Amino acid sequence: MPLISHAFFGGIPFPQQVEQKSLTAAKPLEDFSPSTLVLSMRQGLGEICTPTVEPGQPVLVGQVVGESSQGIQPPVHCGVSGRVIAVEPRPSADGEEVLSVVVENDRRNLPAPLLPEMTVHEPASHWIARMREAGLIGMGGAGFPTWKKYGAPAIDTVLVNGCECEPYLTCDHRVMLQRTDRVISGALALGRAAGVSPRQIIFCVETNKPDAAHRLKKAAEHAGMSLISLPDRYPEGGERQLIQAVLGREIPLGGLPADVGAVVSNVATAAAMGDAVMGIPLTHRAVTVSGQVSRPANLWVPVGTLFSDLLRYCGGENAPNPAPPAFWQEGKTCRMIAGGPMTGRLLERLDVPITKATSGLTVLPPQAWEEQNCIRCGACARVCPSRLMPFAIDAAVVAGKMPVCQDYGAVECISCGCCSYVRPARRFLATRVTLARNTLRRQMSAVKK
Amino acid sequence: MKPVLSQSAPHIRRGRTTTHIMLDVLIALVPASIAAVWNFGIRAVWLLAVTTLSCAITQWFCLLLRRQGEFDASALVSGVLLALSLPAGTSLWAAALAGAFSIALIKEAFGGIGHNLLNPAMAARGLLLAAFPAALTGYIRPDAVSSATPLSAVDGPVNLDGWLPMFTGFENGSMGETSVLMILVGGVYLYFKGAIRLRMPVTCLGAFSAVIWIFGGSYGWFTGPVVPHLLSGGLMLGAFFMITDFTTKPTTFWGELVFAAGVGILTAVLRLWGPYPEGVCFAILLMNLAAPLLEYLTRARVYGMKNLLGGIRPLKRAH
Repeated sequence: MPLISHAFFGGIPFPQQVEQKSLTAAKPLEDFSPSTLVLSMRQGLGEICTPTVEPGQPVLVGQVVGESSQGIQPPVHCGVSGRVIAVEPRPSADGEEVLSVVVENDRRNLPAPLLPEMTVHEPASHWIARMREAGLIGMGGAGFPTWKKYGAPAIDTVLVNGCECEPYLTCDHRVMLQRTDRVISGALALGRAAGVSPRQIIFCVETNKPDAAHRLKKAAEHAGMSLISLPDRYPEGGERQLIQAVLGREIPLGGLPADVGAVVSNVATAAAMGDAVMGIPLTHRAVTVSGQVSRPANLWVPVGTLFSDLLRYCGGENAPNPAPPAFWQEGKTCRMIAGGPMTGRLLERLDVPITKATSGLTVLPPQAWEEQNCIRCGACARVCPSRLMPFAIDAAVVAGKMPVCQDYGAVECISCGCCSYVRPARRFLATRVTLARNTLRRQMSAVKK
Repeated sequence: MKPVLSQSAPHIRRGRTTTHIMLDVLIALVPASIAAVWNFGIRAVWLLAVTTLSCAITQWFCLLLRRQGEFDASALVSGVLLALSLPAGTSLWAAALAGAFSIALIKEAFGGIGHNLLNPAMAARGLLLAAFPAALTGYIRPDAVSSATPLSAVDGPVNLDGWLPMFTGFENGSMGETSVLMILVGGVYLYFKGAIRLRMPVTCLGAFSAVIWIFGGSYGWFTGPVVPHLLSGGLMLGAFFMITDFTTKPTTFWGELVFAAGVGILTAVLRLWGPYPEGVCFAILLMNLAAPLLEYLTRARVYGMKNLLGGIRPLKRAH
């Protein structure tokens, strides 16, 4: 498999002991269905859906339980059959309370009627409509509604992202291995929605997953698509980095991938599209539970499963190693991260549900860092994929100088966390640069209005 | 500062900390220090001890006054570097004063590690050179004969057979300047530890050699005695340990190259036409002052932007 000549700037090739993918890479997806499901009405970016069911009402697998009034956010489907026991605000992984539909699982898996199966000759608009109907959002983490991406004009390339560069996570790896046919049919469907031929659909897989790459390459080439092997380098799977690495194009400030004629979808999204073609809405996803747990695993679970159920199914957390520092709160042992360690969110409580965009639960030993003075070693600038100078932005944020942050291009931060990872002085760089980016973006959108 | 639990991503960090880097630099300075002790005997031990202690005590005192920051190995690095950049015969009180000056006024007064504008060791040496030149004249040989640095003697045609003693260190000069071999050993260690990248020393030495070669000869242009110039004085110590100091150099690729080349050229110019036989110290101090501007002017192009002489503009949207 040839390595590509383009490369994105910066990034970190994680050593294996940091990446820790071997904990779960060889573990097949296990079916797990919890006794209760909490379906958050906010699954990804965009508005909050309105519940379409009442407490006490029976629900079926694949039934719509929430729909958006504005129509940007796709509907939410239930992944189990049973009875709605509550429609109320519940805590979410973001730390806020979000209106949720709570479903009790009767474990009978009674299916709702499926959507009609798609046929090859339907126009692109039908495929895009199906993405919305089936509830597809970006399953790589950002949770952008998929149909919005594909509606853009002048798309010439569809990149199917199987890089999974985030440490610990292996759920996409397992999806590529175990749901290859769905990934392939889904990718073809994504191509039809974007109006491109199969030749313009490129699978992107990192070299650290040779088995998945091999399997997918054979299947993709059989269907007229191609697969490209990318070096194992975080954040290879970032949308912008992937486009830069494969196509050599840079997205201009404030733009979307569609501005440079490309659209990127995760392999998990492609697999969900493969289901959607057959009329099955997005109700389940693969998640990785890894790190300091007794039994690290890849699970196939309904969306809305609580993190506490995932942890219990995997045998609970291990005793923290090394022992927690003295200031650590009582009763708190390991850090629970929704997603991977580089971009995931620290969970304050475990009784919150996974969403369509949650790729796993990473349990990390307790650790705290002491901020020291920056020594200007420049390591953060060398790994920044946006070629920012995080240490300079950090200093400007501390000094409260937003115009300086703008001058240093802080809006282009992608929050990959590379700067904080390498920094010897242990400063919370990524946190502050992300803060600067968000402040600047708010200012920019305020100016536009 | 108390340890803080990071609430936001990333939740893992590389193990390498500032202290690791400082310890690496200290380890890299061990060969040069051993060479100094080998050449100058107990006198070198005293000088190393005095400057290092002076730096450490001053930092401890400053941190007490500032009520923030914590003791780190960077003061020890400054102390050892200062000792190595002084002649072995320097009076000990002057060395102690220079160490205190470098930490108190050059480093801590600007905000401590990472905030200093000038290289502390070089600034302290500059102070001694300007304020107490008499204290610095004690260049001694292993046989304790006091004489000037060989730099004052390389004006005429030079017998190149004499370069080997300069390389291995049995020649006059400041303590750490004498053994190029030992400095190279330390530099290579730092390179393999990832603390420095070779482009800076190479650019510095290259630019220096070019200027010396072109203008340094007694028989017209392009006849300059490059090798003795390269091997003498504080150039090697400067190229591997001083200009690669993170805090006082630009962090950008082109900034580093311009900075290193600037040091090389200025050193050569000061050596050829300056009032002192040695120019490394003032060359580095001058370029230290230019570093913030160099860094600003040579910033990398931000993703999705284009550079306009230090400023940035967004790329045009395609659609």
